[in-house]
Amino acid sequence: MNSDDLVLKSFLATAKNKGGNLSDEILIEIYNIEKKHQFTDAENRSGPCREIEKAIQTYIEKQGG
Amino acid sequence: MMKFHHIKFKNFMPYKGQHEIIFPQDSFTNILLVHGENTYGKTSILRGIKWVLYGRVLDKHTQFTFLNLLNRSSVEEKDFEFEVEIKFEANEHIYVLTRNVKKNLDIGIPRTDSDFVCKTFFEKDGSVLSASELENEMNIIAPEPVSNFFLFDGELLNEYDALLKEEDDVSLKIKESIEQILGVPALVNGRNDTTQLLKEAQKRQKHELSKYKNIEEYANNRDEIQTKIDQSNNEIENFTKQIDVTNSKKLEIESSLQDIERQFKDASDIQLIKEKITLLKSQIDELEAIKLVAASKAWKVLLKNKLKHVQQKSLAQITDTINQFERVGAVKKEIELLNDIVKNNLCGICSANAPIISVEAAKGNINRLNEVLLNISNDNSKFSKITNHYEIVNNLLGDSEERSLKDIDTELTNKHVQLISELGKEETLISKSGIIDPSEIKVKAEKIGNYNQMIQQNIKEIAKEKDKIESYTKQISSITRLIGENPGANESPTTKYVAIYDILNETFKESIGRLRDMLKEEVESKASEAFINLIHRKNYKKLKINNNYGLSIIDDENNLVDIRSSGASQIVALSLIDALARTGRPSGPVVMDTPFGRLDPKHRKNILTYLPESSSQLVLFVHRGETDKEIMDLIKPRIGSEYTIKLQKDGKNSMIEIGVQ
Repeated sequence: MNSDDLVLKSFLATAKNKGGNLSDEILIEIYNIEKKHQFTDAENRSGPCREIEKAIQTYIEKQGG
Repeated sequence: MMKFHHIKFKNFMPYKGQHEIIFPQDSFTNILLVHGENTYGKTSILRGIKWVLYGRVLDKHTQFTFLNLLNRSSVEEKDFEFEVEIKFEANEHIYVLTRNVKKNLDIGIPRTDSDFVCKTFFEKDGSVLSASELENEMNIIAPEPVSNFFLFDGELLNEYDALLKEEDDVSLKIKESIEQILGVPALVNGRNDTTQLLKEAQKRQKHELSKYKNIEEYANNRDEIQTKIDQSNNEIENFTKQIDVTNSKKLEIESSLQDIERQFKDASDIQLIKEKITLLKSQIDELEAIKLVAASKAWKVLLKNKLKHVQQKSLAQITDTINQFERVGAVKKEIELLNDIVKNNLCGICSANAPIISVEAAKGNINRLNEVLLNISNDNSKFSKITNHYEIVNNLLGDSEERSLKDIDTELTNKHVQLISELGKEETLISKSGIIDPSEIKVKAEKIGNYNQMIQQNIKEIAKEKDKIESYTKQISSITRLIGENPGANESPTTKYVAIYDILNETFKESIGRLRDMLKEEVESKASEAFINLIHRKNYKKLKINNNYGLSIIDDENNLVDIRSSGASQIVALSLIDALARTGRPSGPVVMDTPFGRLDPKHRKNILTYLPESSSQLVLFVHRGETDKEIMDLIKPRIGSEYTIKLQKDGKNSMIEIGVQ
């Protein structure tokens, strides 16, 4: 088993444990954005932030909100 | 899976000209052995791999400059260009990565990195990619922090012992790199990004709901707590900056301490050279004096053989004369005895009245003997002449020089050459060494101690601020929920965003702790598995991990093994490295420089049985002392190829040749 699986596994398990109603699909999408930018430094985080914002906007729209 | 195909060097470190290593591709015969004596350039190959993959090479904390990486002979020949190319496969793609450095055309003699131009060429399946794409690809295939765990110097394995000291700043740094390898940054960045997004959304929400007084009150309360969080974050930033400043001051002193150690060594070398010079000078003076004497006696050397002949002749003459003297004495005595018989008819020896010969016969004998005496040359003056002559020849021979002038001249020339070489060494050492003051060492060591204390204090302060932030964040989360539950909140379109960012933020935060626990369990299990395969003591049962990923040995009675040998420490470090490499990336090559430093043959065999199984390729840079016949016999079936590093004809540069020399 690779640690990538472990990181996602830990993230999904925590989300489930917290009882939030976010779907696995959006959680995996957000995780993949962070994984892609895991070595981007603190000064250049606006890119990943905007990607997350967009993903959440699409998610809310899909939910009918 | 990652596999190296080839690496090519041009004028890189000791490798003048073009050199190439082709890596074995078969999954069973996957060992590549590179033999080389110490100082021939084994570590330079490891540095070449690191440099071409990541664009930099670090020596502890200092980065190698381009001039450090450029071959020295090339510099002397004013050829200021070097290059390394690596071809590898990963995730079913073929990559070719080339880094080329050459002098900027406007610069005569380059002195700093800015005097060079560095170009990187990166191909994936034959298509050229950009520098940022290279970074992204490498972050997926084998990020730079991971490289310390698959491209490593066996002599630095003891650094991993620092992991056992939980509060040490070195151990925290290693922990940080381990967590980078294992993917923790994805969650840490996720936490930070969603914190930022949540703050922005909360601001928008407050603005949208400003007409609801009770919500505004909650929002103001949340802002106040947020301000406290910002203050704590500023404090953390300040403490972190202080740690960085203190660390750089500490490193500066540590490096100047290394300079002082070098100066002391230079001073002692200079002293030794001075003694050598004094000795050589006195030997030269002595030889000059000998040469002078030898020159005055040179004619004797020429006549030596003739004189020896004359000496032998004189000696023969002396012996002959002495024999004649003895003969005269004997004849005279005989005549005396015969005269006794003639005069007294009495034997001169026994005084008998009846001698054995008659008087007449005695008279006849006396006459005959007198004639003999007349025939024997008995010239005293001639004898003294002969002995004088002998003594003169003898003196001449004894006084002659044993060695020829030519021999003395040759020795003198050799001594002069040695003297010039030593004077040159002395001049070089004197010019590069500075002023040495032993008291500097004490002062600097004290400063390092103070800096360490300051760093420890800052680490504690950061932990305090982090605790505060955790508590504030919980309060903010509660307030956010209260706002969300308020009937008026739905009027703000941002409320949904706030709720989602809040839950994402909480999820990221909690999953970091969960992941750390999972990783520790995973690393502990994989490291224990490797350790049991590598160690030959049967009473060692497993390894136990601490918060810094430091590993301790547990024996079969579940006791912690407090004191472990340096060999055991090296096995533990190798087990950790293997576990991290297997947890932190897909299977890939393992490159080890001088891998068996403190290990006995049994452990060497264990490692060589285990590592080819756990890695795609095992590359070992070994010197003669590390590979005996037994080890070679063991790994022979798995060796895919072997190379030998040799010195070039100039005795300064190295070359890589296929096979074992």
